[in-house]
Amino acid sequence: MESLEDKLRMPNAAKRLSAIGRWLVDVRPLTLWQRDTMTLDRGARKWRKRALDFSRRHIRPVAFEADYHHKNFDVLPLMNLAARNGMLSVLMIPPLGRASVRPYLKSAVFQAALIGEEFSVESGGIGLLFMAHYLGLAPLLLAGHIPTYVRHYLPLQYKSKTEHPVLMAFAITEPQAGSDVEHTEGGAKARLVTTAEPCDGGYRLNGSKVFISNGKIAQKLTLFAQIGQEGLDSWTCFLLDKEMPGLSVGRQERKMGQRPSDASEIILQDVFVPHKNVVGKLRDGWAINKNVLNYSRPVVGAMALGQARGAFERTLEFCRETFLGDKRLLDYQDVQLQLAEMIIQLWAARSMVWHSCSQLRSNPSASAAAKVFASDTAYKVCTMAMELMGDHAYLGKYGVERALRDTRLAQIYEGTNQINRLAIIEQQWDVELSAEPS
Amino acid sequence: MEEYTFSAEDIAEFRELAGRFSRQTIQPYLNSEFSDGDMSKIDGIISAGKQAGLWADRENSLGIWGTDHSHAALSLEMLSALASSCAGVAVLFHSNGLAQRIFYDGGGSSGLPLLCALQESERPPAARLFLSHNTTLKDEDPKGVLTRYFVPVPEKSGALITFTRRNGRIALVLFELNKSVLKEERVRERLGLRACPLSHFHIAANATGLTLSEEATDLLRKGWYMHWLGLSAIAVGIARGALKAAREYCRQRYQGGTVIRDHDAIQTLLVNAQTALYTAESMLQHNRTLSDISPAHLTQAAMTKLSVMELCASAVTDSLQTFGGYGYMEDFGMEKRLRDMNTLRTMSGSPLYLRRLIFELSEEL
Repeated sequence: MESLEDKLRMPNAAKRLSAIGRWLVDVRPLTLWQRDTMTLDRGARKWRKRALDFSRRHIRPVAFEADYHHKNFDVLPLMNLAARNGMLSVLMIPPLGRASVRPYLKSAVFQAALIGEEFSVESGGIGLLFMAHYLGLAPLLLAGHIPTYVRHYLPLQYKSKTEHPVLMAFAITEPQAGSDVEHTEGGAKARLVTTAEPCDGGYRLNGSKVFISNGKIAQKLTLFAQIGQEGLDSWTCFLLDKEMPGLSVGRQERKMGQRPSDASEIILQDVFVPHKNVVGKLRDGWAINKNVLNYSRPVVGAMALGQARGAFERTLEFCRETFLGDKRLLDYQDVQLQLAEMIIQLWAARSMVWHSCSQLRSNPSASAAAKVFASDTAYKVCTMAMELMGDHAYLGKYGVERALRDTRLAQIYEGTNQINRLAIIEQQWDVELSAEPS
Repeated sequence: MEEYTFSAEDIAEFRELAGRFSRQTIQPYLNSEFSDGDMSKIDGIISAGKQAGLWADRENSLGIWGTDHSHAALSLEMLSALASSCAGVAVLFHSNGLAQRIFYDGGGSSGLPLLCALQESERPPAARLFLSHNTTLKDEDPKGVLTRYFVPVPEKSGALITFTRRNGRIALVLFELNKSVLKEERVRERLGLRACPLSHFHIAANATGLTLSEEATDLLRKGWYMHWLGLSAIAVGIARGALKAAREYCRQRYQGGTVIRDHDAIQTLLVNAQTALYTAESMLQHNRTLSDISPAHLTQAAMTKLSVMELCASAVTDSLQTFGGYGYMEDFGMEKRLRDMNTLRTMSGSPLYLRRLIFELSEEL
């Protein structure tokens, strides 16, 4: 017999309403993931589902090994498999890419952000492998330069659909210029070491870049250098091939997390780069770089969100299976409150990320805000997950500590969260902050 | 047993001793390929710790948690000093001292290297165990295997002491490891504190063990009291080390044409870290006694762990942030501090557990 408590639950109580009343309340038994997915265009829905499926089938089984034994983990078979499934080609619509057209016309990076979240649920480092590839491609797209499209972007996009994609990386950070190349005020005084000297037929590049995600495995790089000693204002983006004489990979950083994706030093010693490999126009580099960050920051937010969602899902499983006294952890009210808080935080972060991806042209303030909020939230959610698991939280086999290590990087790269906050101020300064009220 | 009393100057001297040990002996251990240090050197650190008088045993009863003093500040200051270099090593010294102190306070006298397993299940005890004089306790199943989880293993030991329920009371029992242990299960891949090995011990059902104390509720309380304060002191040490490293880095690193210390954003991070650390230190200083640990003292220790961990975690993550990308790499030791800090935070009493315990104990008081 149905108890009073059962009768009072909304799905049962709603049955008493009139047809219109029932229609006005949605009590379908859907997960939050399903509900969020239903709000998307059909094409975006398709990619979200595909990415979830791929992530569970192919990333989950290797996530632990790829992190703890990352030096022995070969990432290429996984990347090739993902490429065959279209996961590396959603920055372009068919026939050259595989992005769904309608969501692409609303935002070029939204489908990549969806994949970034789903992959990062299982492994932040593997998520980065894929997103760093997109980041490497982004300057070619965002330069808005027809010759660049024809010579480089479209052929590379086409290759990204095949089983043997040309893997890309994006190189801006220099040993003495990290935040400086991500923020206008610092950029004006940046100490740059990577230079491009004009020569017959092109440029000779010298210097070095550090912390380059996928620097070791990428076959091509979009790399930024100043012309002579002219400073950041002369920054130009070049497309470099790993096979170019004088280009070598130096030190690989030992990172706290996101370890399946290497962070490498790129050393340039008299590397000849032909004119045709200039991305966009000469001295366009700073603007291209800033715009790449505008597009990539929400994706970083999506990845952080995914990492925290992974921590949440694994903790939820733990709370379902673990008994404290005669009750499951899940049945305690304080545990429920904490889980609810995690859901709220994740939901809010996803709303920010999806909102910032909701326009065709990127908005620097919305991008930075989404990245800051999602990454700070993700770290907070991971610490909450650890609280729920007690001593088990720090054990590698549960994957929650890995999510915490992974997600801490999101508060640092793509501009520290301090730099991103200042980017919002910079963007809103003239129009809103320092202007007289109208 | 003679107990000494200590002045503030005495305590400062011990702190200085531990600080020197930290810089001169522990720091070189960390200069290896891995940020967690060279594990092969741990035995050497312990030997040096014994010579320096920091490692409590029969001969070094003034060491960390040594039996010749009843003033917690001495041990807490020394633990913080060690942890400012390496929290894992500090946990080694802490675990050893705790085992020795419980053993001797429980009436032991053998002078063996010891392990102490405070945790009788996969999580710390419920409040009623700390108040068991009013409660009928069910004996542990004599046919079942006695398992002790997350036991720190400071060095190769001959015996393990633990609390177990016998004749309806909490007893302190010593088990010889070679005879009693069915299996030692080493906890391997984990977030932090890797210098200190951790194991689960499965003890044979027929291992009777040597009962050191038949009524050990007071000792159980004292053990957890010392444990939570010790871990809190280690957290303070991590945060001190992190803040010091951040300050040094910020004086040297240039961005935007100036040292980053001159940037307001960096100053905010440093001040936030400093304030959190100061609050944590102040809270820790309130817990001084080692005699007659009551449920009220235990409640204070639980509140201390709860708050100090939050504050220190905040100080460490803010300090790390000043390093930018370098904070995430192993070279500067900041990522190790973050990992160690987050391990401590959930170790032997997560915030969720502590909140529940504080409520239940407070209801009884």
